[in-house]
Amino acid sequence: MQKPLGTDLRQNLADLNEMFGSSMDLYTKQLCIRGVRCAVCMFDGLSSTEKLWVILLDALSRPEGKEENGWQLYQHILYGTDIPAESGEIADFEELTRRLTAGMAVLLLDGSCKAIAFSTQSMQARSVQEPSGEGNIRGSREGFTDLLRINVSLLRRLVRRESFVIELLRAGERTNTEVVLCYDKAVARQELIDSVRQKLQRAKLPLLLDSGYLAPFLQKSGFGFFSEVGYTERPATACAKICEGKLVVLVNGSPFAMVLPYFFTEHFQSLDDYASKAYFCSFIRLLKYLAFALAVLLPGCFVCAVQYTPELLPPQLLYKIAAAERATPWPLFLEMVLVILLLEIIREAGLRLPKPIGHSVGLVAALIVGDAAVGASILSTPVLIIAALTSISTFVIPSLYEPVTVLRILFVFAGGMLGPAGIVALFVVMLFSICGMESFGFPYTSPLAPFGMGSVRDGVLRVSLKSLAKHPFEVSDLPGGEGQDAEP
Amino acid sequence: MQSHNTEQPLPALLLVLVTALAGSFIRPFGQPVQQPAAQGYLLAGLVAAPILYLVLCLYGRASAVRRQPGWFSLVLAGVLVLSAAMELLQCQRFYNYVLADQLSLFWFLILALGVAGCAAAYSVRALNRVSVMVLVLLALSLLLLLVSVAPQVRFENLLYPAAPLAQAGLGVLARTVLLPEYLLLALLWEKETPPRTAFRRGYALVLGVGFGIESLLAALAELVLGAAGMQQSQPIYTIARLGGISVFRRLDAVHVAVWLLLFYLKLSLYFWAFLWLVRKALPKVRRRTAGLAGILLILCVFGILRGFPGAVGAYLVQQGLLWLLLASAAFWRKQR
Repeated sequence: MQKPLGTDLRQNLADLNEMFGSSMDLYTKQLCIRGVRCAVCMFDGLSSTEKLWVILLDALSRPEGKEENGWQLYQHILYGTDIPAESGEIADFEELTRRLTAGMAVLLLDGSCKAIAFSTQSMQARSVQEPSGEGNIRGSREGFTDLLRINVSLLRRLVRRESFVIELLRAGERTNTEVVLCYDKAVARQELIDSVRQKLQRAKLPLLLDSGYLAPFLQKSGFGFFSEVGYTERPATACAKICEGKLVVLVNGSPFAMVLPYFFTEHFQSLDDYASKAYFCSFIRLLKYLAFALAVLLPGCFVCAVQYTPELLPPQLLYKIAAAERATPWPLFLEMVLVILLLEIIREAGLRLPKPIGHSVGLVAALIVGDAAVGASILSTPVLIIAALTSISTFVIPSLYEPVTVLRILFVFAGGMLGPAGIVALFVVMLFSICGMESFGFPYTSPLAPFGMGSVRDGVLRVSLKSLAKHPFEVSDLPGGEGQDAEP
Repeated sequence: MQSHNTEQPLPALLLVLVTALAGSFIRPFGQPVQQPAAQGYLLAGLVAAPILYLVLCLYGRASAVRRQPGWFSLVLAGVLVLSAAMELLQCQRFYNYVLADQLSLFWFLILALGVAGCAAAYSVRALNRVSVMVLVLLALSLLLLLVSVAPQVRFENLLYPAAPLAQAGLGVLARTVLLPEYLLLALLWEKETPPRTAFRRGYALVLGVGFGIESLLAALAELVLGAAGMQQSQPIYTIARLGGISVFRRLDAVHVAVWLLLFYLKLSLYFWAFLWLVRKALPKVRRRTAGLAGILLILCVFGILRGFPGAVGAYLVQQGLLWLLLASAAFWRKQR
């Protein structure tokens, strides 16, 4: 139950101090404004006393009139002056805490059961920088930062339409984190908005530190290799998604905006696609699909081909592979799994360590694994080449890194132990997994399957921007949706 | 959340099309009629396809306006079990033939039934979407086959006399094959979605494309192999084995992988439809129970069929039951 503010200033201050356990960063200062006892409360580091002085104290310290009690002063500040006080009223401690932790300064008045908040935020935050991921050659260099307000302003600056809505929600029982749901109500489907809002409100999680925490609460339950939601660090990409009728979820403290619904084809698209020629963009997209196929299938198919269907390989190549394999002590598929795991360990080590040491780890690993292991005939060169090719292919589609890595290892096992039948069986299961997914009512594989002209217009290929501009894409244009015969 | 638009009134159209094509690539071992020449194949198809189309359209119309009785669902489910076992046997023999017993029967069954069991967790729309991907791969494989065998095509191989009348008649009979998926196509039709004649176009597409692909493959086999093609138990595999591009002298493994994909998809459709029909007729049966029973039944029938090398009897039983089920549509009660 929310505890209301009282009219006794001393009691209010005592309650506040008790709530925060006399935290060292809670700044409270008692003062007298126009004859009324008041107290200014703020958090050191979140709020600035200079700003507060400029907005409030300077105007009120001039002796032009005198109020009889705190309530009159409250009315005077809110309605009788041009001081830019926040409009929402603070009548309980929960709201008071919310304002204080948002970096506002709150003025408590003796004799008034309501307090006044002032926007005096002065938080130290990372500036708007180019994101480390999602590299692009053309287009905006701005990336989302950690502060929600800045991120919202970046979006508002790009989507300058009256129908662009930003809804504030809260999640995280212990962190009480601000979450915003952004959409263009003119193009987004109302059912989708309602459904997502409801799921966000129902999300019960103790702490919320990144938008990714919310994904399991938004997706359907059950195992799936792929995710129904996507992420972007770029306001420009988020803006494009909003204009397509999609929803964007931003979480305070996270520079990753969650986009939903998100389709399989979107993993192969980038901001640069629309700044380059259509034929080149189509070529690049086809390359990305090829890279995906290589990243998932190449090691498994290589192992399977060498072990079960060697006739598939050109004789010269086969001789070289056979000679290299004869020198190593491992079965081919075990060697492939070993190298893949080793590469993953190196990647993880390089990622978590400080950058200068990370580079050294990469270098040492490359020297040891690449040279010494081959020289000692512990690992074979063809296997290393295949694993390296696969790793490079994975980096072409970084958003699919997780499923690709796991599937790749599974395919190696299937190909090595069960042969072509195993590879094909796992491939069918993977297809079921991708094609069986619904992203918020839309088939995840739209517009590839069910096939729609969208896959040619702006899917696997892309037509010219002139043609695209004639019929701007909206999510609701996509064919398909949840069938009534969902399960037998 | 329900979508505002649906994919199509026939949610399994492409799925049926793709699975119906599986038999064109992996031929049954010891089939009842010897391979006719391409000319006979074409003529037989020209007679058989319109007959099938007419009969299936009548059936489709009946399924749109009449209510299927419970026994129909159960008998069709039984036919699906038989068909799944036949497909399993056929594919297992083909796989052993191609890869010289590299996979034991145990693991083959585990894989095939595992995939089918996995498919049961998804909707028919999901299976249909998978079939789009498989169709693309099949088209690429077919293109690769054409390109790889192009240097070995000899037009003089086509100059064989047409088959005698009796053999042509048998050819027509052999081409008038009813597949369980033909019957399923109309049953899975979304009755809420107009137009009500969607199944006509659906059957025309399935039979037309099937006829086209089969004729193309028969012609290709004859163009490459000549008279020897008629003696082959797996003529398409034989020509796939002969084809090569540049340093890649053998590409048959690539084609076999795509055909295996067709087989898995077909088995998945049969198993999915089995569960759907059983639960439609007996709603109280739990999904898991029905699934387990389905797998056990398939394994039992598979075991029985394995004892008979030709499997002609099973083929005749399957066809007999399917034609009877088709004919029974005339006696279904009208829907209110």
